[in-house]
Amino acid sequence: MSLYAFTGALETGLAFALVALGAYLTFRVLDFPDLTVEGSFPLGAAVAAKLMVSGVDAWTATIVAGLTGCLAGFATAFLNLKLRILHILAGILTAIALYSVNLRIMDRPNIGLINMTTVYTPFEKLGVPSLYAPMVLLLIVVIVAKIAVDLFLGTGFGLAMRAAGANPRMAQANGIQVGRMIVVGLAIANGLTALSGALFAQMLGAADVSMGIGVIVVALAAVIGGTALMPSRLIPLLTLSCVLGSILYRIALALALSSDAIGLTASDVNVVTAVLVAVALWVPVRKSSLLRRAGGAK
Amino acid sequence: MAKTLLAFTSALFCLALGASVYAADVKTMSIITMNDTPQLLEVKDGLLKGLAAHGYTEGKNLKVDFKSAQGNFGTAQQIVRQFIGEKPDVIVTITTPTSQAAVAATKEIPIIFTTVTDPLKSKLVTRLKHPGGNASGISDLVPTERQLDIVKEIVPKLKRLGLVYDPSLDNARSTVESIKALAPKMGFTTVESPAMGLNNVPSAGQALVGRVDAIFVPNDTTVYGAFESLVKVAQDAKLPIFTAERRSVQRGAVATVGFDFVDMGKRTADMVDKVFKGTKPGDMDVQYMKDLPNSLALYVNKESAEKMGVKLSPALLKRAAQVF
Amino acid sequence: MIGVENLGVTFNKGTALENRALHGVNLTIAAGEFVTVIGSNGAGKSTLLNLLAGEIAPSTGRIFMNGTDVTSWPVHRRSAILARMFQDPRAGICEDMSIIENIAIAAARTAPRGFRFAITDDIRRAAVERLTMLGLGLEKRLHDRVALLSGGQRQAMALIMATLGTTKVLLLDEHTAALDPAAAELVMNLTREVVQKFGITTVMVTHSMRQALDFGSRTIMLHQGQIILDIAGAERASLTVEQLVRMFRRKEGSDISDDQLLLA
Repeated sequence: MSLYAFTGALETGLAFALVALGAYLTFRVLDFPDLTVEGSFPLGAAVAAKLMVSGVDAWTATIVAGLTGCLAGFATAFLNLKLRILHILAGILTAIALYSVNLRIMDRPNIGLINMTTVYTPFEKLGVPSLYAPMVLLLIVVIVAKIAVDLFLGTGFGLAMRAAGANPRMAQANGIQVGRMIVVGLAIANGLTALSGALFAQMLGAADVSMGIGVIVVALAAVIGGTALMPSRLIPLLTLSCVLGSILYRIALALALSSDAIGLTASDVNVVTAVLVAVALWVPVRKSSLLRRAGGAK
Repeated sequence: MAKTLLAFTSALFCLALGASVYAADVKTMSIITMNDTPQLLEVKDGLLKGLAAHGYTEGKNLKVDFKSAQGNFGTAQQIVRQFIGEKPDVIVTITTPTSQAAVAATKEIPIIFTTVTDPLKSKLVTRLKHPGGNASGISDLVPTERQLDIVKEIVPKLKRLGLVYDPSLDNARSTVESIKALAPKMGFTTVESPAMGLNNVPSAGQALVGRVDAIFVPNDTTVYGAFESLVKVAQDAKLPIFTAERRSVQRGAVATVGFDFVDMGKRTADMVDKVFKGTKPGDMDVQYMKDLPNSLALYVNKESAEKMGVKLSPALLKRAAQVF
Repeated sequence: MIGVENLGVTFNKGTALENRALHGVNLTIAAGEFVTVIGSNGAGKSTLLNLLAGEIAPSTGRIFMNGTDVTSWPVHRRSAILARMFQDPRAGICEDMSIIENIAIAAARTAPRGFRFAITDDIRRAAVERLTMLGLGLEKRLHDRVALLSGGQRQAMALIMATLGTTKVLLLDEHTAALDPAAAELVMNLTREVVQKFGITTVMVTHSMRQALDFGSRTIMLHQGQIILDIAGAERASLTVEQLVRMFRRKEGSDISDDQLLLA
């Protein structure tokens, strides 16, 4: 594997690490399998791209893109809490709707961003070779995001969110509004995802409405793979393992792509990641207690 | 005697030297496509055939690395990075998203893009003539006016034209926009029936039955992926389908004045050949397939036309380059 | 502390499954009182607790706590003054989290912490102090996962969690029924000790007539959604289980066929 391929894996891994952090919050902490990311990732890309070609500076565009991801999270939470739609379906519905929304936002399926001033340009100007510029910013963003998530989960609010995901009835009985936790959790996770989409689009050189395909699978592969390699109960280590998982996944993919001897093609990797998703959805089910059925009427 | 021996061995030596120099002159080409649908694979076929015609044989003086991103953007990004690391003599990118990824990632390695509808709008080049930089290529922009002419010729009473396409594909979308712009002055209205994904193709066709006089399908890998099912719907409803390229006519469309994707691959090979010989892509104008000589031809499918309730005049059949 | 006026709830009203689980219940419980509630299956015991906790809304009547009308308050709102323990030892705690984390969650019930750090030195100190009362050594295992604890230990912990902060009311829903006799005895004794120490008004539902008489200062019997017996003080102190059963028959005019009530 060449240095370029390695740094490429590192970069892509960092870009998607934000989605992995979001997936950790939803799938692991809240026990809410959120598939909205298939729509909120390209949403971030679409909003950022549209704003940038309309003259808005890249930084503002990226931040606004991240915030629109929060709106996507609100939508899924609404479908689940108010309309009582099953969590997995709620996420799928929002993602489906976002497909059309993204097309509308961009007015076309694809917006090119090549040779535009992106969030990476300042780093290029500093003398960092353009091939490495994204990595510097992404590293900063991911570290900040990870620390923010760690600190958040240590606050009263964060602990309440963890309880809401671990044992909703007990949480409710302790004054925690489970619904509110879901809303906030989904908003944060999808905000991170949309931010990731905006950053990735500027790296790739385009925002495309099909960009969301396969994103959740990759995120879960990162969460599962990471936490399997680095089992821990400490939250800072768990989030670190998600970030590392995202990078390792990309490196594994780069290795597979570069050695024809192994015979793995891109499509084979799909099967592997699909298996990882199955495991991701099975683990909390296995752990889930019979609490949900406790305390009926006598 | 010694002199002859010396002459002979030195001749051999020169031959060997020449051969090794020749062998060392292996060109490397990395090809990346977003999807490996049959249509796009035809481009790759044509590319290899075209290069063979120029004297490049895989395994002898040409090394080819072909990768498909399977529709995944993250994978596409990584493939591009891998290619850059390998420093091939040229990177050929099939479809718009991979072209964008390659152009964004390198300003040194020559890039030839193909099967891109709008290189300007996709920001692959800043101008079409002598674009500068390291990228140039071929656009598959469809000559919609000529194709609509054929539609009107075969269906003279055309008043409403249905459009089946995948709205997430840039190429298809552009063609649809251009048809909608041309429709008023050609005397018909359009009815759009989007198909989001392969499985929705037949129902997108069914939604048009009774509402239109003919269906047009732009170059769309999604619809072409399920084309036979659309043909069946059209034949059952006696609704003629027209497309934008040759293979789909073979598969059941009534007619097209279009190009052949294998041919497009061959034209791409022409540009690659120039790059191998030292021309910089930036010095090559972006080419439009429809403007290249002998790229457009009339293809008709008599059998399918009959099933769709359309009669093809003998004069038309004579003009056709190929009748299926 | 707790006032219940004309409380009633009907499930599936208007359908073939209509069930008047509770009707016309009036009850006043003074602050610091420990009331036990007994009755056969379907009598309405759990329904009463569910109503008091806010898990279900009444069809008629009102509920007062600490002088406020809390009838319309949802569970999480009442949790500032009310805590509940369940039969399932896994229901009152988060087994995947540590002991100190669970205590912190319970502490936030009456003193929410918002965006400040959840586990502070104050909380740690309070946890050690309270857990020491149990005599189970849990105060030395603050970072252990609760999943490692036995059923009895979990219920003991849940008891501490339920009595933290400004909790004024404790609802116990057969909280020792799923424990082995030794653990059950331990938890019951701890219950008596803790609620007395902190002056918490307690309502305990139990299937055991023995337990109902041995603990608390007042016993209520429910039958078919109504209170048919309410005894306290001297009358109650000298009562035996057999006498209680006879009183029940007299009031109701029918046999208790519930072996559980008699055997306990």
